[in-house]
Amino acid sequence: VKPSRSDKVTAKATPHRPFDPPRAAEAGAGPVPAHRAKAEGGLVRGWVQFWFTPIDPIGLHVIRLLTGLLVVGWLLLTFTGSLDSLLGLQGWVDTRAFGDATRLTEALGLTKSQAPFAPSWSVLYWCSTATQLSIAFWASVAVAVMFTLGVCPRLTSIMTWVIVASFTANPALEYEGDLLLLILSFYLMVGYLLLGQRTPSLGWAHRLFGPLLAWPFGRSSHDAEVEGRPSLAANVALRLVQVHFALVILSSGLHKLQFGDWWAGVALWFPLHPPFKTTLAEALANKPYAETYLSLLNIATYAVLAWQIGFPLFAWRRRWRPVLLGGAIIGWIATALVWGLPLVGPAMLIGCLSFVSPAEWRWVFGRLSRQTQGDARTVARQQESVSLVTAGQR
Amino acid sequence: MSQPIPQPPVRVPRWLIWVGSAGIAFHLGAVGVNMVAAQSGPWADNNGRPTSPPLLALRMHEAFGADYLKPIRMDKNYHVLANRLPATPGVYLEFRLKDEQGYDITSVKLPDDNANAWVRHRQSLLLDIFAEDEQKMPPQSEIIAAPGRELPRVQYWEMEKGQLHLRTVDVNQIPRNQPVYGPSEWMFLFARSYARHLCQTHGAAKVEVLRHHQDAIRPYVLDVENVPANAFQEVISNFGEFAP
Repeated sequence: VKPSRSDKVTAKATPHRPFDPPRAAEAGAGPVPAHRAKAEGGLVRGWVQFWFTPIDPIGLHVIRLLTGLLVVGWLLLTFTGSLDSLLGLQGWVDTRAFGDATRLTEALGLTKSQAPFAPSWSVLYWCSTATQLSIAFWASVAVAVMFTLGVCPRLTSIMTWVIVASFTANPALEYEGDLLLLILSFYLMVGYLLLGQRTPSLGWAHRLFGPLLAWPFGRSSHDAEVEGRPSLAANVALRLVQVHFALVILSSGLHKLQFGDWWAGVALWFPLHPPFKTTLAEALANKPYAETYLSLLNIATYAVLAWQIGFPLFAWRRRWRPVLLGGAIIGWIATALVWGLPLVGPAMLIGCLSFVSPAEWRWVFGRLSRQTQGDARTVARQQESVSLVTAGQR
Repeated sequence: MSQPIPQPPVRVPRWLIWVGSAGIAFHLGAVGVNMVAAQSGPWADNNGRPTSPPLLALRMHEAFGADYLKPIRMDKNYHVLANRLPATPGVYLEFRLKDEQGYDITSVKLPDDNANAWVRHRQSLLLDIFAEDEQKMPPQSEIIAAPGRELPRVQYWEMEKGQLHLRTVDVNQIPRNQPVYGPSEWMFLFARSYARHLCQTHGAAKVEVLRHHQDAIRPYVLDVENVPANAFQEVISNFGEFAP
């Protein structure tokens, strides 16, 4: 039987990817290569490609390193010296206040979601003395450092999420930046729990506890096999971070449109001129060039809105990386200097860095590696020439 | 940085795609529905009540999303407070610590200017609840107490010697000729708690709590010829003394 024309076309190997002829036995319950899913229709193909294409896990490792650094910095800078005040049973919000809040919520007939004070779970509630709290804190810092360095990441990623959730459980001190830290630590936990689980030669201990050391220090042959293998878990974890961040930024951008001052383009005036810190003379100092000043504020305010509301449109496009990362860096500087919010900026930047592809990370590290090798060669050459000169002088 | 070891193409089992897709769709669906189920805007509906969230989203969130998102700590709808910038007045609290004879020991400010930015920020979060007073509404008609019971009592602010002081009356005596405002129960809850903490750490017998409050400075100050005198006015509200 003469094959149809369409069969001939599809059976031709393309120069872009290895030719993989369809096999009837695999078409049912068997494994489906990611690129085969392309034949299954636009939406399904897109979904499968987006979520289920195994990737080089380098991006997951970099996000882990940066998140770990942020968690360590956040723990040390926020809680060192203020541990009892912030989290102690006799702290700013003590146990009696927790009890009063529960009673008040019931008395006012509020649901838990309506109450401004709805405590969540925390392992720190088990610490009944200042010493126990202190031990728990320093143990948490140690775990976060291990997670940052990639020591037993399967275990330390779970513990890090529990730590972040526990240290942010007090509703009186709850802050929007904490939510971003919770998102990052949760999806990193998911990623590291599943990372390498499909490696066939993995022993039970490795499967349960993960590699002893992950990137950048994991160098054993077994770890290298796991790390070098394209990972489905890395892709799923990073995609979850990306989609969740896109939802957060879009939602926050749309929420801004509920307030007239954002529409009027003057919302950024308020953090620049906070009450108590701004005198009448300071405010009026802008009066001679009020129009220019307010126009600039308009542009900046609308730029914030455009970046947030347009985020899902450009975040996944490689050409728009400068807008994605530039916006995140400007946002970091603005939130830290103008609003005085230390955590939200770096967390947002890490979230935006999750959009960077493994190839881009490899390119960045390749450049850094070449530069380091070049510097080392230059130093070696300089040392050689110095020793030659010294020998000649002798 | 070493290059990855070349590996053969990885095949993903079909069952894994199905299970993974279901999990992802459920998780992100719950997060998305929670965001949509948020209360809309600062505007009110025809009856003057705050506009309610979309009913379908709210029901879906309550049915399955809330119980799933709460334990994993993703139950916030990301309608963040920072978006409400203009509505946020400046507030700081002053705690005057006193001994048993009533003499001043020291004074503590919240947020503390000497604390580092991270701690100062956490302190400022405690003050969010002190930013806006509640309007105290008089009843439509006079309320008569049940036999053996007292009438509910209400506290509202009254200006006295340049400071707002609390005046406690029963609900029938709330002024009807002008709107009156007073602190919420939540403010007292946190003020008392912080006062207990300070008494313990400083060995004080009681603490007088003062709230310093200034409305947000609006950009119209650049347009008008004469800026109103109260645009930069600081108002002090005295919550009274608390003992542990």
